Amino acid sequence: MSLWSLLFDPENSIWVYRINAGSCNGCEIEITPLFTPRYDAERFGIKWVGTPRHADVVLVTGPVTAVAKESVMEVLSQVPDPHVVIAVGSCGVSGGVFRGSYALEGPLDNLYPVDLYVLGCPPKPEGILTALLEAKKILKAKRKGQYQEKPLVVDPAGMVMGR
Amino acid sequence: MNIYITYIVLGLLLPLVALLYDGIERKMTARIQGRVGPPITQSWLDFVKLLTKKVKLPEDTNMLMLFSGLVLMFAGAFIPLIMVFMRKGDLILLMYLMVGGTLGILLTGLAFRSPYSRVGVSREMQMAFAYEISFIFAIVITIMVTGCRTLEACSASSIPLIKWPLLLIPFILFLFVAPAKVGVVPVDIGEAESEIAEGPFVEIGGRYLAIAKLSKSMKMLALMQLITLLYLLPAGVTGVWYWIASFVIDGVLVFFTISVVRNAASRIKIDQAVKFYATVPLAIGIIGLVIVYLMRGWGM
Amino acid sequence: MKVGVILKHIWENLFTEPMTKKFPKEPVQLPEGFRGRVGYIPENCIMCNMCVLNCPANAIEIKPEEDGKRWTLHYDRCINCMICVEVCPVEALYNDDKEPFRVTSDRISAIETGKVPMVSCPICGKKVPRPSNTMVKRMMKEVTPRNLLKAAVCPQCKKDHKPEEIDAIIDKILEEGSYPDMDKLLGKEGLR
Repeated sequence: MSLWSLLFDPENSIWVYRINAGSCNGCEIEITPLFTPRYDAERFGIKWVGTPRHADVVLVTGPVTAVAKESVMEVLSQVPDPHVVIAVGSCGVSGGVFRGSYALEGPLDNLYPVDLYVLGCPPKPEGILTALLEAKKILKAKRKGQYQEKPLVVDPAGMVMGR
Repeated sequence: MNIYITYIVLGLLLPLVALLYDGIERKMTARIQGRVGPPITQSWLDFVKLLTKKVKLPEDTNMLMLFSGLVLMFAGAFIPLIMVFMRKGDLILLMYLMVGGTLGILLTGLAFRSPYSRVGVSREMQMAFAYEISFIFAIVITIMVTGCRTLEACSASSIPLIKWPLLLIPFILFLFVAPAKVGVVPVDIGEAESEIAEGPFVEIGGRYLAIAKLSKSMKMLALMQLITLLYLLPAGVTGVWYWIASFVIDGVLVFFTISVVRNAASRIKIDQAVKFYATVPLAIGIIGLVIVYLMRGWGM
Repeated sequence: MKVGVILKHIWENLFTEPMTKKFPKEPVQLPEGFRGRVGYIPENCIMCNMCVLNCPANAIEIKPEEDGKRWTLHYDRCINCMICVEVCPVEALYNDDKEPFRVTSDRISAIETGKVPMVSCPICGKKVPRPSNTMVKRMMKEVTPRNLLKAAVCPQCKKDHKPEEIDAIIDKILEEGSYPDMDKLLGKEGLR
C-alpha cells in the first residue's frame, strides 16, 4: 500500500453489517471466522459493526423469507450511502435449495439491487474476504459517482416450483 | 502571540496523535490475540471514511440534544487534552471537564428513541455513578498529598511516585478507573458493540460518529497523559525530551491499562461492574483519604 | 492462578508470529476431499438426465438445441453437494477444486455449460447423439476414430447390417475421409 492510501483512502476502512434473512446459520459460521485470528479481516480495515447506520457493506445471508422480508427491507433502507450489498451463499444469491418455495419472497436481488454475489454453500471465508476486498473498488466508484446502479434481477424461474 | 500559535498547532496535531494512539492500541490488541492487525493509521482512516459518508438520522431526532451532546463530548475530551499536554490549568476544572465528556455521551444517546440507545444511556449512567466517585477520590488524594491544585504547580525534582509514596493509592485508583473512563471491553457495558449495538451511538453515523470516535480516542490520550504527569514524569524534563518521554510513557500505559485488561477479561454485566466499582476502588479511595488525612496531621 | 495463565498467553502471543493466513498473497489451502465446483466433460456425457433428477437444488438443466442438447449447471443455485458427481454413470462430472470459491457481480452468467452435438450415422446419415468416450472405452477398450464411428452407427442400421458389413463400411469411410461430422465426433468442435 502506498503512503497516500494508508493515510487518505476512505476505502481502507470498511464496516460490515450482517443480516440473516432466513439462513441456516451455515454462512454465519463461515462469516464469523473472518474476524478471528486465522483470517483476520481487520488487517484490511474491515470491522464488524452492530448497527446498519454505521455500515458500509451489508452481508445478506439466506433466501428472503416472507417473514423476514419486511425487516430486511427496513434495515437496508437505513444504511447510509455509499454502501454495497453482498449476497452470501447459494440461498442469498438465488434461493438455493429453497428456490421456488411458497414461503420465500424471492432471492434478495429481486427486491433490492445487489452489487456482489459470493457463490457456494456455504462459501469459504476466503471467498467472503475476496468479496469484501472487491467491495472496496465498488465503494470507490460509488464515491466518485461512476458506478452504474444495478437493476433488479428478474429471475422468472425463481418464483415457480420446478420448471 | 507565540503562545497562540503553539495552541493552534497543538489543537490540530493532538487529535491526530490521539487517533494514532487508538490505532496503536488496536494493533497491540491484535498482536496479543495472535493476529496481524490493522495498520496503525486505521483509526485515522475510519475517521476520514466517516467524514465522507452521508448522514441518515431518524425523523424524530432531537437535534438540539444531539448537537449539545456532541459538543460536550468533544469539549470534554479536547480541552483536557490540550490542558494536560500544555501542563496548564486547574486539576478540579479538569475533573469537571472529564465528567462533562461522559455527560455528552448521555445527551447524545437521549436524543433518539431507539431502545438500544436508551439502554446504553441507562447503563452508561450507572457506570458513571459507580466509577466517577473513585476518579474524584483519586484527584482529591493527589491534591492532598502533593499540595498542588494546578497542573503547572505539580512539579517535583524526581518522579512523583518516588518522592511521595502515598501517591501509590490514587495511582492504583486511576488504573482501576481508566478502562471504565475510556470505555474498553471489560467495563464498556454502555457501548457494547455486540450486545446493544454501541448503545448511545446506535443511531448516529457519518460525521457525528466521527466526532464521537475522535472524542473517545482523545479522552484516552488525555487520561493517559494525566496519569503520566501526576505520577510518573519528573518536572525537570522539558522541551523535546518532555514530548518524547510523555509519548513513550503514554504508550506503555495504554498497553498495560487498556490492551492487556481488554484482552485478559471478557465483558462483564452491569450489576457486576457496578458492584466492583462500588466496593474495591471506593474502599481504596476512602481508606486512602483517611490515611492521607491522618498522615498530614502528623506532619508528613 | 488464572490471571497468570492469561498473562502468560499474552506475553507469548506478543513475541510469536501471528497465526493469520496470508490469504490474498498465498493461495487457499484446501483440505482433503474438499467439495469445490462441479466440472463437466461433454465428451463423456450421454445425456441420461440422472444429474438433473438427483440435483437437490434444481441447479442442472438440459435443453434441446437445433443440433444437439445443452447441459447447463447454474452456479448461483448449486450447493456443492456433489450428488451429481456420485450419480453420473459415465464420469462426465467431476469434483474440480481448482476454484474453491467464486465472487461475481452477475449471477445469471455464472454457469458451467457444454453441448453434446448430433452426428450423422456413418451408414444411413440419420442424426444420432455423439457417442460418449466413456462408453466407447468400456465397450471397445480404447477411444479411436474407428471405434467412435462404430459407436455412432444408429440402432436401425445395427439391426439391418451384419458386424462385418459395418466394419467394411467404416474402413471405406476412413479411407475416403468422407464422413461429414468428423470434427464433432473427435471433440474438436461443437461441444462447448
